Amino acid sequence: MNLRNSGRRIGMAAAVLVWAAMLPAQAPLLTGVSHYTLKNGLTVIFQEKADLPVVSVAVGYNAGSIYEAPGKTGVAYLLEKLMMFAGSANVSPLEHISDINRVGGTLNAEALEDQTLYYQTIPSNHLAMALWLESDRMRTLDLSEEKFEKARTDLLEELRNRRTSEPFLTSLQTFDEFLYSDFSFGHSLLGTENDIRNLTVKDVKSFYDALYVPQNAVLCISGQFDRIRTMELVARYFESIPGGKVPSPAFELPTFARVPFSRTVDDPVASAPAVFLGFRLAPPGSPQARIQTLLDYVLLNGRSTRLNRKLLNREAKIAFQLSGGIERRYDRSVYKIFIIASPPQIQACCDAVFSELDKIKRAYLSEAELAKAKTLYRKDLLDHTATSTDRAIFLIQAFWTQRAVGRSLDDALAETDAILKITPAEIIAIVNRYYVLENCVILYVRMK
Amino acid sequence: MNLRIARILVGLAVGVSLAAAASGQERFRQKIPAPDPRPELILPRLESVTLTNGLAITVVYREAAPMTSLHLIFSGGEQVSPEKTPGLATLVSGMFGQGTQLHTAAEMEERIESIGGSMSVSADQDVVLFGFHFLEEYLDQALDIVAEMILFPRLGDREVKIVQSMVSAEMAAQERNPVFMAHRVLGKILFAGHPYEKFGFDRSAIRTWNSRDLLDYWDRYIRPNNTQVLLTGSVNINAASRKISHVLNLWRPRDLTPTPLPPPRPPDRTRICFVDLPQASQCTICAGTVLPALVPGERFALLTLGQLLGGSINSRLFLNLRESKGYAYETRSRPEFYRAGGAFSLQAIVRPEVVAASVREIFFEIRLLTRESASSKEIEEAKFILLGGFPLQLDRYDNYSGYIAALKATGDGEELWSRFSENVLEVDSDRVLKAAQKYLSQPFVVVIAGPREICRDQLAEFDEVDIFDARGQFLETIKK
Repeated sequence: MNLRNSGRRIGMAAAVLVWAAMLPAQAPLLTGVSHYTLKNGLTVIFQEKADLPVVSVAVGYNAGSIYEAPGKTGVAYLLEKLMMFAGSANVSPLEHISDINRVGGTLNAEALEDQTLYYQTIPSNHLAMALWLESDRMRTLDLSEEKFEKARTDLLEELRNRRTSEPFLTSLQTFDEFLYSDFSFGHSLLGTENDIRNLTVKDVKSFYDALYVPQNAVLCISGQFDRIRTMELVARYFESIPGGKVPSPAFELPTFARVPFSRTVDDPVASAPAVFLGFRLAPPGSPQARIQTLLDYVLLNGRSTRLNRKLLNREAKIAFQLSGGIERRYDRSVYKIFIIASPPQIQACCDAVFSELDKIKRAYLSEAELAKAKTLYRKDLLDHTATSTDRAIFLIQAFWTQRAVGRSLDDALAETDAILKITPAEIIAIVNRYYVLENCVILYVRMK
Repeated sequence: MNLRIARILVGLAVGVSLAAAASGQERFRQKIPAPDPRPELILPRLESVTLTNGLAITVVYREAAPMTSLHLIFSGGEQVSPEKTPGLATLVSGMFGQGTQLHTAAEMEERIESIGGSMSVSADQDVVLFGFHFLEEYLDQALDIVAEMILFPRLGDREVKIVQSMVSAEMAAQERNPVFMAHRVLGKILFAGHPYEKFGFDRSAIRTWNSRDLLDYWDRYIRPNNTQVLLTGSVNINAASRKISHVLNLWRPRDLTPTPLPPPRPPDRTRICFVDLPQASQCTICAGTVLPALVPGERFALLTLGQLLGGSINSRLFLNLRESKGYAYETRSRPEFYRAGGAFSLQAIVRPEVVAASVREIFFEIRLLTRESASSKEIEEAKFILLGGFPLQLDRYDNYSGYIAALKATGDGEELWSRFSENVLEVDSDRVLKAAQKYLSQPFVVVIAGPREICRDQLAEFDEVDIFDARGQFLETIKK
């Protein structure tokens, strides 16, 4: 439902995906976390916080565009729309939205490349209703031909509108194809017009039946609730849903030659020239991933970070816009940088990025700068777990991130301390290994 | 209206029961579970103290809050900007990001981020509002930063130019947004002749800003006896006032002779206005009227009215314009309260070919509210949304402190804080009808922002339309 646009997507990558990969252990903000598994395989995460009578219920499916087959692109995103609007066996179309709205609650959904999330926040006395609604659409989505056609027509219209009006959307898709290089990870979540036209209800149903099952889902409840009663409610509404199978994706990591790669594309709706830079990083959950996380707060994530200072300096600004951060898809991590600048400054911006990286490689990183990066990291972590909705989404994303690399939520819950102990030498080593021209994909975007 | 809702509900019920019967499922799946009793919302007290220099401090204690929020609320806002330099309060707000006499802007950014801080400053009709959020262990450093910004500001021509350029770019981007343009024109017309009119300044006003007027504004209004400090976090009032006094005891007060702010006057006639935005593909309709001085208790009736008319997908405008007629993509309505009165406005984004019909339906719904009592069920549903939504909007730490800061900005307090729920619960059909009759019977100003060329036939359906250009400048009046 809420597919973020290209610019924000990149901008938010650090905000959402970094945190998905890096969950704190005993950080005071995320106390009260516990989890268990139902007989049908559904993982249930609780996060208790009792200061306001508010509770969030979120369900995350390990189901995104990386699971789409060639010729069937767009099915993950289309299914997200149907989940939001089509209704289920006991819930009529729009009733889910209406029921949540009626008690002063909010709700949304988000399809990503490697997972799809559905979430609502409500006054805590309506927790049973939210569980009832979520269980009903997990159990029996109403996939009629008529609703499918309506959702497909809407999606095609959205696709046309966005491709003709959203600057840098098509160039970002091209960049992803180069950066990820294989079909599963590189193709767009939005799908192609041709594929969407050829989709059938059966395609959507197959995707739903295979991936929207308890074995492939996580339910997270965050906020003010009674644990025992909630366990009873969860069992009541979810335990009798058939568990399904755990999908066993066979994603092979392509081998990349370590040679500089750059291309130029024309973007018909670009408002100014731009450049994308992408570095392929160590996978989430690895020791290097922690260091990559912290490095983001040295480079880009914060107004006083190096690249912000260098490119958006008030005295000598060379870029109009700068965004980026770590992006994670399943078991892969990349670091993306996106810069908009005037034509003569585009190359200067690229040079400035590599110049800053070179400075770090030459051991120019003080303890004081690293301490500031750690403070920014803590602050960002608090910001992205500030509400019960944020915490529910955060925990679900952390769960899937860790699962993709064979780790558990508990492993993730033990990482903040390690991040806060990282030294300048470890950062310098990571920059030397991954943030080099030979490991970089560059895409220049020209205005057409 | 009620008949229409009833039909929809009956339709839903039939569909649901058929599906349920067919699937042979557990009985509990067939029926939406009943809610538990409404939980108590316990909010901390707003504790206040005033320092000898007149600085009013309010502290809201939140146990174990990892972030502390500090707001400074400088009374005045745009309504005290000089006539010749409208928007000056916005310039003042921009100066907080321009460094100080002791540190450059970059150095200040570095200091702020070193304590896990983020800052935002804005100006509205009544106040300049400074918000600062930081990790709780850095309260002393945060107060040092804020004191330096206030006591040693950098207010030179160079800084003025930087802020002019930033605000101009930001406003140019906003002017491409039909919702922004429709609301700006609506505000200017509703508050024409009132000091609040200056809040709707346009880009041409930015050129009038200068450092002399800036210094004058700063000297008059950035004073302790014209400022409220709000601190939200795990700190108590004694410690907070001691620390604040320590860093701001040199901040000198100044005699203020406040000019009484008259209540705004309702429009003298209903007007239809059109802002020509050739690039827009849809039409944004904003309609509103002024709320002059309110009687206690009316706010909650008006909040309920806002919900009932267009506050949710179960509201009358949504059911009419979207669900029944298929005209609109979305609808909204709500009251806004300022230090002097306020405004009641609504918004609908519709297809260009149904603009005239949509305006007719909007007026139909407004008139209906002034003639007939809403049913108790409808009132209760609207109250339910207000009651349920209230704690939700406090869930984020900066929204929590921002909500209280907004109360302080308009001179409100516990009424809309600890007594919010009981005040909402007291609203009934009579009160809502009285509020509707008193305020929604006033003339409304309707502003439509969209492509004039495509809407030409639609505009011909109105007796008289005032046309504005894409920058919000009046062009002409067209008559039937």
